[in-house]
Amino acid sequence: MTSLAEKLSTRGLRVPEQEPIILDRKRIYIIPTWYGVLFSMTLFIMLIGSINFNNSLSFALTFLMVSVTLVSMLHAHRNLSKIHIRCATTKSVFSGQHAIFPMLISNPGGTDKQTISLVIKNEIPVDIDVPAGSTVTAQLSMKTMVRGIVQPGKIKIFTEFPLGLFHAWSWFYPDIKCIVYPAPEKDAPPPDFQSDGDNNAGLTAKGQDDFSGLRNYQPGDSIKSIAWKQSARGDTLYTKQFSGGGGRTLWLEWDIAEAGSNEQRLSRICRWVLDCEASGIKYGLRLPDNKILPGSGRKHQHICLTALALFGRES
Amino acid sequence: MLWILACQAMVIAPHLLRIPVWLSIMSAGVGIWGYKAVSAKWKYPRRIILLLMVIIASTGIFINYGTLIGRNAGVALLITMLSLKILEFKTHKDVILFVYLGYFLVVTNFLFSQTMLIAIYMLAVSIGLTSTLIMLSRHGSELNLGKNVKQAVMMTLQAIPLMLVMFVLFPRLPSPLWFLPEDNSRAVTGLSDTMKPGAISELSRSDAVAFRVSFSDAIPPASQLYWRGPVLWQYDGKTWHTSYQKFLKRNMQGKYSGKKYTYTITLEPHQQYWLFALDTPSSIPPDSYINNGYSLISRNRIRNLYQYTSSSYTRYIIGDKLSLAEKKSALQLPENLNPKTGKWAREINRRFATAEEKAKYILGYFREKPFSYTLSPPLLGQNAVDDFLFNTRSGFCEHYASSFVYLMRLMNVPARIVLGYQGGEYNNLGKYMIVRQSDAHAWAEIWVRGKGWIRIDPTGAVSPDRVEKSIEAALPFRVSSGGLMRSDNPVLRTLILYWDSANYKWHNWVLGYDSAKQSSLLEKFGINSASWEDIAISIMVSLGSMLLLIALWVNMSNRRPRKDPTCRLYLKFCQKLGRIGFRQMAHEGPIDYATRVTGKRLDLKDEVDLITHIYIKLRYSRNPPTNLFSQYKKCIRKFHPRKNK
Repeated sequence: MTSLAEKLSTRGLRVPEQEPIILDRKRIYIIPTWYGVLFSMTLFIMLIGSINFNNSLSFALTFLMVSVTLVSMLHAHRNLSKIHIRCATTKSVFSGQHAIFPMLISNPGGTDKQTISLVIKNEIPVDIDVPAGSTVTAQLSMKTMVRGIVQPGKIKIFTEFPLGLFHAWSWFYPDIKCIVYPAPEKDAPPPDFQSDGDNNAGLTAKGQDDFSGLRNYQPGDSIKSIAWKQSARGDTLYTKQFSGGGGRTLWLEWDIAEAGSNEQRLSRICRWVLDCEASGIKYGLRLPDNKILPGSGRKHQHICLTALALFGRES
Repeated sequence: MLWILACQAMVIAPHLLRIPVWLSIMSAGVGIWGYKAVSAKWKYPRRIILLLMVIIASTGIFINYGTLIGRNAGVALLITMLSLKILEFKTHKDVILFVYLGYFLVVTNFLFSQTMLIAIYMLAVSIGLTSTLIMLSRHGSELNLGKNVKQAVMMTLQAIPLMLVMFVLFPRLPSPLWFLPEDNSRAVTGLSDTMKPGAISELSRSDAVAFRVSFSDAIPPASQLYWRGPVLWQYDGKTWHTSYQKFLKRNMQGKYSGKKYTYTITLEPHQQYWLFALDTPSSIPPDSYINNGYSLISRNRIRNLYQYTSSSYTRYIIGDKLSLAEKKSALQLPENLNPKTGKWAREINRRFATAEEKAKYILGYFREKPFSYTLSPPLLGQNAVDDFLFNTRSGFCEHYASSFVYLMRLMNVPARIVLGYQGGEYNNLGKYMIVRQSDAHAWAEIWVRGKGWIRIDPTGAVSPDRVEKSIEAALPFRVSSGGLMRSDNPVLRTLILYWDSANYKWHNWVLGYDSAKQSSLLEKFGINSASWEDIAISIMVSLGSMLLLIALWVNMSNRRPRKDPTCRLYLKFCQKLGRIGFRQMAHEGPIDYATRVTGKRLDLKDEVDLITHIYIKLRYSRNPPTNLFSQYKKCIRKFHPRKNK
């Protein structure tokens, strides 16, 4: 039954929707919960009792509860209707971690939306309250298994508020994705360097030892190399420059990462990228289908890791 | 948790006096245990202990009531279950079931009492239960009690119109689906179908309402207000019984003349079959019969408030042909009792020829000898009539009626005793008459050839005030048990009448709403032959439209909250700019927006800057000048940007 209901309620959702996604009454569905069924059975027994004793107040109370049930249906529906959903940007994660999809749920209406749950299929629901006229971020998480791009697909938003007797829900298909880097290999051997210049250099980043001077901060510089002390004196950021590593560049190559499968290779290279970045060495990437010129900093790291994540997946 | 327990306590509270003491103590104890289990981490009992408790409690209930089904035992059982459920609060589900059971128990309360106060109280309880459900459907453990209750009240208010529609339109059955075992243990004040000395005087101390009457036009004088109940034929020397009764065919009614009174009686449940009518009813309400004592007998026991309409005439001839069996039972007498009375009766019998003359003589005797009318008569011996007539000479209506009928029978005049009520208090506020248990009365009827049964009230001979006014006037001194109803304080008296009048309306329109009322109400709306289909359709239609209205209401409150006028005007301004291609972006504040617009459209700079400036001033400065708003309004109204070519 659930799958049938799901099929019916998700029809028409074949492609990701444009933002903002607005939940209107055409896409909100509602059925009684099992509690609702149980409660109506209780009400039915109450009604039989009232008929038998011909007791006016029992009738009145039974009908009141029936009406409250009906009203609760309207309230459950209202609790979802006119919700606006937008997606925020996602942060890339390593395979095996949880991808977080932040959804901005705003309530432009005049009543609070209470106890709303959002759920990606097979994941744990996230519960939120959205007071009237405000926006709340729901952090939907999804366990990642493989590198590449993950998308949550269709997301169900539902509520059983206020009485738990009705389950109102709606599906939406946000245009949101998260890049999943390969999982970095543990205890990976250092790369067999084919670096320009020094031959037997390890990853012991010598470059950081010989401080040679300061220059103005440029976006992309590693946070670790910022000269905080000096920067604090003025209002410009300075980056430390090192004589040793300054000219040093590592080429992280597909061929030198000698591991069994492609995935293991990617894992290893991922580890190297992280290590290089940590030690402040400039590094470049050479993959069979892609080449990234040496550089360093967060942005560079992201570009490299994305290239690893999407290796062989582009098409 | 405490809230849930409080709800349970509220639900059970009205039952507490009705259930056995041990059960009340048990449920209180279990409540405390349940609370401690949550707050102080007490252990929940094992399943086996719970089962044992259920068995013990059920056995106790069985011993107490002799059954497990039926109303009282059922409620007791339900309370047991509800209390023990507390010790099983492990999952969400348990708590929800507990609340559902609570609703059920609320309904059972109405089987015992249906007063306005109980109704209001129970409404509050059900709102409490609803807010518990709201609390349970919220995630997290936060307890915003106020919010929950507010929502519950809101939902209940929205539900009330729907409830009214269902209440009015839902078809009512004239008789129950099945009968549950009787609960005999309940004592109800009211007339019984026997009469022994002291029975009615006992009843006279009660202020309880027996029934209420509304007359469709004229109100009969007080001396005509004889409300006929059961008729007693058989006397065993001490107690009078109904024993002999035969139902009459509908066409075997009497001959009626004189003024006709039509009235509607709302009878309080008295757990008996008979109905009351103004003396002899000339029309028989549905679902009832008339017997040869001209008492109305209902088909069903009166367990709930019962309403019926009947009519009576001031003059009538009933039972002008006396059957042999009737004559025999109307002359039945216990043997070898009251020798003195027997001697006296023979004497009267010799002196007077007709029954009426004999009756007149006896009434005269009551009037002339020092007979007195008292609520606390002395006890009578074996020969009760002898004792009363020649010895104590003080008594209540039952003594007079009893000895009068006894005398008449001795003189071979068929006679019988009628039980009922005499008088009633007119409530001017509600335009109806209240007849209380204290108006209980007994009088006599003798049979005269050609005239049928004639009413004779011997009490009237002794104490005319009893008939003309009321029992208060008739009694020589105030009775200690009089209570509120006989208060002399006029303000209090008016308040009491107000209260009773509200109660009457309540009884009439809420509690007494039955199949007859329903069809007459539907007739007013033009639904004449209310068939099941018609009712089903009208329920559907009205429920649907009601639901639609409520849906509108619910959604109305979902609309954008009203913005202040400054803001609204600014939005208008933005709309005007939007039309020429400058829509305000979500990230843009008013200044950024204005800069962007004026950067592209130098020709609008003055106006846009001015409006933005005033807007900011109006919204954000502490005390904007009062005339600024009107200027702002004018500016925006005059602002008509045109598209650039």
